[in-house]
Amino acid sequence: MATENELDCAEQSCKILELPHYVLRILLSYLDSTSLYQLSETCSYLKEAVEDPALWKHIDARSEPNSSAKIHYVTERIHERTANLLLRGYKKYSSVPQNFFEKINLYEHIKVLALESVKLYGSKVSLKDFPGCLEELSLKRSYVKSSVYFFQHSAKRMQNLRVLILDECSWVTCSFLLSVSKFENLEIISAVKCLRAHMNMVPYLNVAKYGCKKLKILDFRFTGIGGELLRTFCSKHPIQRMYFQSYKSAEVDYQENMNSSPKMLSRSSVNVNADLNITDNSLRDYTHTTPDTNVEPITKSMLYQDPYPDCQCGYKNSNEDRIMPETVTYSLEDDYDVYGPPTHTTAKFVCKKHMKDVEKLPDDFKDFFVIHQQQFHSDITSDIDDSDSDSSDGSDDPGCCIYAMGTKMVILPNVHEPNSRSEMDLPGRDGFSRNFVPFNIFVVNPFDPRNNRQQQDADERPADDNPQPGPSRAADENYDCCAADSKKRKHDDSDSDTDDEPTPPKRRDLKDGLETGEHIRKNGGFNDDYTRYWIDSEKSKKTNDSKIDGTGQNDECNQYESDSDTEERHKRKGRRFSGSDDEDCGKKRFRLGASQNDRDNGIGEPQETERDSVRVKQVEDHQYPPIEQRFRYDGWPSPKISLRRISLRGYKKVTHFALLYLRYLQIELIDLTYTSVTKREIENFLLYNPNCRVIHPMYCVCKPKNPFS
Amino acid sequence: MPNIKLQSSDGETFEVDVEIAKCSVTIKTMLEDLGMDDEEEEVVPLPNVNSAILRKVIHWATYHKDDPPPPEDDENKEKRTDDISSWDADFLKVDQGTLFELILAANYLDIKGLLDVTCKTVANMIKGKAPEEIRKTFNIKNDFTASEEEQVRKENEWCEEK
Repeated sequence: MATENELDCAEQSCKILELPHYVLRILLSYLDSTSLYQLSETCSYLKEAVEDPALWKHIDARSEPNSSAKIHYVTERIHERTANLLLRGYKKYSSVPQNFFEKINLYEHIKVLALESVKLYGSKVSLKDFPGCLEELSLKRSYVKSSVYFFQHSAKRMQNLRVLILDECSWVTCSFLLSVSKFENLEIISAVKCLRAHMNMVPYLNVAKYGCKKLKILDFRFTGIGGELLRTFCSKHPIQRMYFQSYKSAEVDYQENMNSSPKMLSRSSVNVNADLNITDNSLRDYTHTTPDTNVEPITKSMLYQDPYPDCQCGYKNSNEDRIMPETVTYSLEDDYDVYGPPTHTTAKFVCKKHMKDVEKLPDDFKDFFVIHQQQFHSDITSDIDDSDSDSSDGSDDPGCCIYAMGTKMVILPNVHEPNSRSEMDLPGRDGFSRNFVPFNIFVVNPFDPRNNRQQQDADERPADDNPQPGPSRAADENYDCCAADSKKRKHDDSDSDTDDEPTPPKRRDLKDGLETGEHIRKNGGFNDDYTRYWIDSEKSKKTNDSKIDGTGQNDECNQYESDSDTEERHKRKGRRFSGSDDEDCGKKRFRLGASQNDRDNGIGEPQETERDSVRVKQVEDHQYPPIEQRFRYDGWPSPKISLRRISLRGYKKVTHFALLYLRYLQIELIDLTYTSVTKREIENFLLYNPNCRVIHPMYCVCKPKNPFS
Repeated sequence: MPNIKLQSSDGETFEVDVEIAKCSVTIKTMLEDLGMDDEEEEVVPLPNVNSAILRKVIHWATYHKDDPPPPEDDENKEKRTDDISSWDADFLKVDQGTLFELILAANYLDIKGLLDVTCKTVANMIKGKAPEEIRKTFNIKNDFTASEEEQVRKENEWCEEK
């Protein structure tokens, strides 16, 4: 009976308003929150219909338009049964109504929370106010004003958090890892393009690694933390995927220019080229690990997407060899040219605030602190908050030396609980023993001598790094120079071993000191600077009386390594030490890297020696020794790790050595695009890991998912 | 296969396979409760569905007769609207009037699959549109009074300032 006429009439009337209420409800249940918001603006009937609480249980209002009005409307709709809340601000930093945060802990059912591109006020809200049942949290592109305390004391509340996404949060510094490492169930951390993530990374990482008990995925692409993270978290058993990518390659892959955003990087005293790079050395410690065959499955996440979904380019099925693309768009230059020449800061700065703590130190210690207040301020203040000009509220104290990454010295107030370690924190000297516990002093030398050496290499042969005429040739030449490099490095190492003096942390000591030994075993290998620092302090307690002139430790050294050149080294060591009694105290208490400067001043304790000597051995190891032999690490069981996927995309200093270090680990996916690894070397690697998916111009060419879209 | 006769509101009768007719939970319950499987030819009257729509519904049900029963609604899952099969998409390329008639028919006959797919289609028509566009598409009258509009505008301003 529906005639043409009638249908026309129907066109005229409003069909959607004629639907029975319950049908309309079904229809609305198919709409996302943004559309519901739009509907609410159309007419009063729909406005009312849309307010049904059932429609606001799963809120995903991330699609455009992301006006403040929408955020306001949506936050008004949240009720206590709401399970997911995904909000996104307009471009940059829409603010979320404050009353949302006032009520936020009432929303006890929110499991997934995304506050993207919004602005939070650290003074009013911090992570410990967030709902305790939270399982996934994303603060992508958000900004937290006065963020110093944002992560503090949140561990208890965030017991259920599995996924934490902090992509493109320029306010995040490495300190967050410390708080986050205590989250019991945290499995995924994504901090893509956190341009300040490397701030103070050495001390924080070394403490953070004692937590992170369930961490499975670390996505730190486009940060400077990669090399240090690989080193420190090397023996963390649960980690399965680690993704890194160099700053520069973002330009090539996603036309994302890192140059404009991180002014702070170029101005900071960090040596972008050496300190924030991933090199073969970052991966070296993986030789001592064995793969664990039992890998826990990764729970699916709503917010985190793995950058490497299944292969789309089908390289596995095609039998033809891929031809290296004609033009290599990525010149294989370091990030060097992005940020300008590296600056070296060797002075030691202490801010006014912490100066009084320095005053308390005995004279021996005071000498370490050279105060360049003026310079310090101009150097550091400019680095703070230049993305946003609102550091004026005082809680981000820009003058505090806690920001002084790249300078030699960092004082961290109350960085970790003074548990067992507090006992050995400081020497039992007069009037200066345990009373000084609230401050733990780390002396950090971010300028790893090895990096410096590479730096020199790079400086010496700049022509090698320039774009090559042909890609494969470029790779080959790169390979050659890398090989030459490594030979040279090896040579350097043995040199430096002899020149550089002394006191490698003694294995014997480890075995002798039961306490220490247990400490190390518990933490999976002593390849960890903090432990070593600790051991040294312990050791020095013992040998407190027999002041070290180097000879006191010779027998230990001999047990550790009986190379013929060791003795010679000890002789030199003795010679060297005999003139430096004044600094003994410093040597014993502080872990100092052995940068040239330190050595010249005679205050450096040569922590690198042990590593260097191990490395020399390893270079020899590359002649395919039996597997069991390789994995034996001087009597300690080699830590089992679950690492399965790793991305080193864009790090030119990654060469075939990296593959040698990794090849027994049953890697399933490795991204070697824009590295200095050649096809032949990958072929070799694939003999050990036949099922590995290699992302490389000659293999799988799938690009990782664009994190900036 | 036994057949069943369905009569539309405008008196037209359709002979349909019982199995296909049972797509509709309404008809299924009717048959089970009333025991209409006697030999005598009976006609099921469907006073809420006209012949054009009933023909479409039968067409849809015939195509989908072998589908597995749709999964129970999971309250905790977001509903997707981008998973309409291409056949359904073609099938639903109709004018808006027919589309809403289909929704009503699917609701009356209680055919979950059809209701889902038609609702998704309408939802897709709403998605990504500004309020004014939605009004235009569905011929909705803006019944907000000027003062209410002002109210909304003010609220927004307040938000922007914040």
